Amino acid sequence: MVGAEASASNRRTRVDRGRSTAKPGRSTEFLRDAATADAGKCETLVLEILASQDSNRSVELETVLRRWMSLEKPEQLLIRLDKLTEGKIWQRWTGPVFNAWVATDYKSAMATPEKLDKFSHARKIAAIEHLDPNFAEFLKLEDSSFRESVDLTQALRVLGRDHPELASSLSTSYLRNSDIRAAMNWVVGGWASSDPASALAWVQGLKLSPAESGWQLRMVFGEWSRIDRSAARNAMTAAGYDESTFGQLGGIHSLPAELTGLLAPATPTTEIQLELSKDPFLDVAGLYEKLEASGIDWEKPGYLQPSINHDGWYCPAPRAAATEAEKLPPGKLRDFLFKTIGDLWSAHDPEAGRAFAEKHGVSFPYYETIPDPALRAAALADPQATFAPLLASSGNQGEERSAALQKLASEWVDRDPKAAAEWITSGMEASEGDSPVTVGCFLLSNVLGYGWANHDAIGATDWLDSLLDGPLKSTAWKGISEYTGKYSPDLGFQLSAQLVNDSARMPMLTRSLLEISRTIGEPAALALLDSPDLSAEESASLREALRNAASSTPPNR
Amino acid sequence: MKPFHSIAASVAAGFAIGFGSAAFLKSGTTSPAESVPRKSPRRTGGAERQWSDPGLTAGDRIAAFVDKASKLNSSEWPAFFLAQQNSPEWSRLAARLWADCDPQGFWNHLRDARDPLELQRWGSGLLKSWTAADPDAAMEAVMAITDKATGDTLRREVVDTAIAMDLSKGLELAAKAGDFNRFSWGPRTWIDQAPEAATKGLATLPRISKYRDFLKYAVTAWATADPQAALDWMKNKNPRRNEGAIMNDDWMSAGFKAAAIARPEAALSTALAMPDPREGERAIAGVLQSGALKPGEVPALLAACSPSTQSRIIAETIAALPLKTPADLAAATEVLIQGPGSRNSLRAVETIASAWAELNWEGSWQWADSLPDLPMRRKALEEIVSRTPHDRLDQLATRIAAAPIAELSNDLFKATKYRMSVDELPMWIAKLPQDRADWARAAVK
Repeated sequence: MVGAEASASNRRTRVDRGRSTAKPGRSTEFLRDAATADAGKCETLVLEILASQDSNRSVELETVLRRWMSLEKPEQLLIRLDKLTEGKIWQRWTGPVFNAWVATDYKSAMATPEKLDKFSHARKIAAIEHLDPNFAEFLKLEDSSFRESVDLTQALRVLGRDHPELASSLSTSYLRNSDIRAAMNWVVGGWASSDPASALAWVQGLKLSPAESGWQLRMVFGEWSRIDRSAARNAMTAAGYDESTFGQLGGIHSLPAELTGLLAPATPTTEIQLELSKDPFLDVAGLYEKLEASGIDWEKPGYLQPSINHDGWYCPAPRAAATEAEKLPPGKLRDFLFKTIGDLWSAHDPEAGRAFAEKHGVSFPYYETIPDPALRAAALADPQATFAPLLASSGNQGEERSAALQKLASEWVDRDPKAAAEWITSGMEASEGDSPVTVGCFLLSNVLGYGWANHDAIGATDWLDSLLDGPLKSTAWKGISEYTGKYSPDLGFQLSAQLVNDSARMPMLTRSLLEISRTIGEPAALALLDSPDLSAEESASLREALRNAASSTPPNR
Repeated sequence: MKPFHSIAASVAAGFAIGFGSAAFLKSGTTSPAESVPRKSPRRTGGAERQWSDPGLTAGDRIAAFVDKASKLNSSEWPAFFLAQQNSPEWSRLAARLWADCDPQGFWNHLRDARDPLELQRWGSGLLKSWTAADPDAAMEAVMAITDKATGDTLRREVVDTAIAMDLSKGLELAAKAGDFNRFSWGPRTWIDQAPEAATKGLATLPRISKYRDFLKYAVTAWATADPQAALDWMKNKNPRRNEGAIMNDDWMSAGFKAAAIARPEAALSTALAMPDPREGERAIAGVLQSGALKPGEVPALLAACSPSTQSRIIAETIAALPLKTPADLAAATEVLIQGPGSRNSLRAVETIASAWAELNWEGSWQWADSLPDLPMRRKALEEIVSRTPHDRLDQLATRIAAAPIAELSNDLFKATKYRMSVDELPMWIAKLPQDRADWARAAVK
């Protein structure tokens, strides 16, 4: 164990670890009772468990049934259970029933696939757990719950990890079966968690196409990265793999952090996710140690996925985490952790988050979006004055509290869109030094476009009609055109033709026309080219764009 | 760090494994596992191995196993469990017994192993059992998980188990659990059992808590069972009204909708008297969506809502209106036309068009022609075409031939495909004017 790991582990053991004492509880007493029950008592216990509808009693049911099956033949007992429970036993208890049968008589339990297809899923798991040489044949049986079953995927991973020689009997001859292909991914993942080099050799030996092997290689290198990133990177280089190997359409950033960390320089996000995949209990001090050792240049931190609504480092008790963080050495890394924790804390308790931000002189995304009560009251009482900083700054990032103001401005649009629209355009008219194209266009698109035209395209364009023709009207249209076009693409095209006369004109018309052709139909798009607002040259150019798009569109689109 | 699974082999000595013993084979079970080499040696023999004694019956072995496990102390459990963990016969029972006898010890063992697979295999069952016995201790344990995905799964196990046992305690834990991804919600037994308590408890949860999403179902259940009490509470006693989160909550609409179905007049008067205008709009939205109002009351109420609310509820509001007679459809159309122009309005167009086509297919074309803007007319025709009776295919060709080209669409022609057989389609298309026939052929290809 390396130094940082050892210290984190020791600290956890010393400080956090709860003390344990062994004392049999209610379940143990039940199981003790069940283990010596006669048939009559077994019947009573089974009915008691079913009546409880408590899925956590599946082991108790399995145990009662094992006891009962030691007293009566399983096949006869199944018929009796069906009558006794009026079929209810099959609603959620097929797993424990089958496990009891398998434990009592593996051969007969596994030999009845046609008669008792309700057991097909449990049979697959049993074949894997019992290391059946023919387990792959069972995997091929129809089973609608195959891919969602955590129990099955766990069993496959354990099989790959502990019994790769058996797991490797899943050969390419089975690959036409999609369930087997999915199973191979889990098997490979389990195998790689104990011996990634052998797992890689097996995958390579299967001679699969790149499309077929992409997911399996992801599993191998993901596990390898957790165990020994340096060795994984060497193996990847030796094999000549790159990001295209892993079959990912979204590029490197959509790969899991374990793989991203092999293919690109470390970032806080990839480092945190990699460490969490190794230790889901990584505490504040442990996180600090890992990040400190990662070699990241904290003067140039990479993009960090915030905790809220993302999968990353997440502490559900931010107050305690903040206290721990305050004990760390000052510096950029600690500030980074302050931001991570503070962002989370703000979501739990905005006032506490605000106090934490002010205490340490840091800011974080969630905190910035929370309007304080005084600001909200001001926005309700005098929206024009309250939102004046937005107009002056175009709502650019970095403006003090602009995120909170934008949020409140959106609420204003929701309440009174026309008043908000008139305020924005009047502010644009009054602006000096900036053209209306830049001042206010952010507000028009993000606030009026999304907040009004998105919900009422006709109301928004009726308001647009009330403006005098000119640059202001043109800019206002650009702000709401996207959302108007989603309701009425034809109207969007026509208004762009009427109102936009600068360099944005042809790109907007082309984009709009191609969308109409795609979603409504080419004849509808062609009909719009007769508009009197288009010059002959523009019509010809747009017709050419339609022709080019049609020739590059695959059939059946 | 030593991998969790490799520890098993080194600690197995001293504990027997029932699976694979002579007694197991004697009982008639023939598991293929016996012929497969294993990484972990399975040894038998010794004074403490009663449950694998060849002289015991299968049933008695279970009793001996439970007896042995129940006598283990905390320090003996890890080795005992590791010796059983890959035995299909005994692993689940061993885990259940350890969780029952020493949940903290089992948790410490899983945590210190730092093996995500083993935590996933055994953590869920352990936490359910532990929560049933000591919910606070189980919650404290899972609060230490900092990997979001793992924490989401295991914290949810604890909170769900606790809520099912004791609503108040469960919601107390939910308030601590914070945010969740991968969260599903819907009706729950614990809501039906105590809808008022569930509503009031869920409403006190902090805004970050995903469990607040159950509020919609709880308040619906309560307002159905006791509409006046639920209305009074929504008007006067909602404890989090000043949080500024109301705009993103739809639970109040759900509560008023359920109350309006049972007590329309009371629901409407309460909605109109809500002290906070934002909440009032949510309340009115719920009443409108209930379908409990007279159609003539709907337009004015809808107009009182903001465009975003109108857009959000217009499809459901119209779907809830009576749509059986021409007068019904005219009233629904009046609501549609006075509402906003949005993609949700087009869903409402589909609803009315469908009802018109079923009631009077010919009349539905005239109705479509009366709609105020092109997107609505185009959507209406698509829906009417998709509901054309087979004996009206000739009239359909005539109608399409006469319709403005701007009101036709790929989707309209695609819909014709499902109104006739594959053999009929080419002949039917040939009846159309050339420009429309070309379009139809391209669309149905």
